[in-house]
Amino acid sequence: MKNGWADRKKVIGKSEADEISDPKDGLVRNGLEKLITLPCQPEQDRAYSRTMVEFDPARLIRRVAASQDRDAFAELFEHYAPRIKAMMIRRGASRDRAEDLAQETLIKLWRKAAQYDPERAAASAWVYAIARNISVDESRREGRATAWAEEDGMLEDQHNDEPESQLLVAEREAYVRSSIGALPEEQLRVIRLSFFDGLAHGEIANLLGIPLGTVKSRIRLALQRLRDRVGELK
Amino acid sequence: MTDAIAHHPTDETLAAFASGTLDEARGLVVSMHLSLCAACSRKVEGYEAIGGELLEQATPLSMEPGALRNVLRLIEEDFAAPETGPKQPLDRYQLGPWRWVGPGVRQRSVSVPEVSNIKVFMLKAAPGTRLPYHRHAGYEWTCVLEGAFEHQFGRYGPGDFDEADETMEHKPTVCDGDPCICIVALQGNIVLQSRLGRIIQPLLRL
Repeated sequence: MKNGWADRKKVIGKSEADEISDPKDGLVRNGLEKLITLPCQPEQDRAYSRTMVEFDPARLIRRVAASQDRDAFAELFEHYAPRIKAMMIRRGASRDRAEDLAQETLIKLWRKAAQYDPERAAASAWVYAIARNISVDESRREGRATAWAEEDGMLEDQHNDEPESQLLVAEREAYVRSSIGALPEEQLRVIRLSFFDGLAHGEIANLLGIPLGTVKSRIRLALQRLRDRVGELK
Repeated sequence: MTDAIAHHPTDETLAAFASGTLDEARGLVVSMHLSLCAACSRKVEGYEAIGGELLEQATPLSMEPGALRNVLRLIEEDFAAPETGPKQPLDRYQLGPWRWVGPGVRQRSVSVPEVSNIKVFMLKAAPGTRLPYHRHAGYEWTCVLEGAFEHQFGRYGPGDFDEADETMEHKPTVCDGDPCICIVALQGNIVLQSRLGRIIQPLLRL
């Protein structure tokens, strides 16, 4: 848990600190910060999704399960692997390792496809859970990766050659999405650092320079607001 | 699954579990609770939807050329072995032998790699056993698997989850009936309050 933390703090901490001190909160100043701030801009996503061809991950997963459909799998791969790669890097993996972990996640998706129950979970939530488990296993194997410092600046040259969103979201996903978008920035920030970047509550407190109790209460408030809007968040 | 579970992890704990940020020891004890509690499993699924949405919103980062081809090759080499049914959380760990730690109390280790003085073990205590009055130097998270114990905050039966921390003192008593089997993640040492307790503590090796 502790190994890579100091290194990660150097990188994430910089942009988070900028974000805090900058009154024009949310300005995109570099590639890394883009990862942090983009999720605050659901408007942009919604605008894209109206013009996109239908991407129905739940249906694609069912096709993989039913007939080992490689075309369906390829679509899932194109959509999720690059996002999972970004998530793995945020969670402390080197660029090469993140590539491997994203591939590993998609292999797992293939193998577990028959277990996916669309009545129970949105496809994105199910894919997230697989990626999270692989990330957790990775940090158990390696301790937290220490590659952060070496990889400084690596996100500057990312290729943004994929459309931002190819989604036609289910109603439930739309609710979660709009609810996340409606969170106050300070709550969204801790939610993102926790769920996407995989930082423990104590690490978030260190990073933002705020007391642990404040982190916990922001998470509590955010969960409360999400529940209020989404009902049981099913 | 039972609806008789009265004590659950906090929402904050379930959210930390869903985000993959609990340490392995606490994560395992929460997993044991989730394997017995449908309500908390649904909450965790709700929190995973938050993660899913953040994943959808993430800026994609290009995969290496040939990544898809590589993955399809690996899938074919592996005969695409499908994974069936969920595994029990304890399956991935080795369990030590039950060994005597005190009158009516046995303990077996769970092979979670020890990180910063956190241990995971199972505890089996005979009906009527009074565990010594103690407080904790860190946290103690417990999930009851069989039987029941009670302390000042209530009765804890199968599936019940108890989050104790250093601010709490308690003196659990095992309820009549079956032996009580728990899984415990313990940070630091417990601190026995009585003089006798302090004398026997080294024997307990807790």
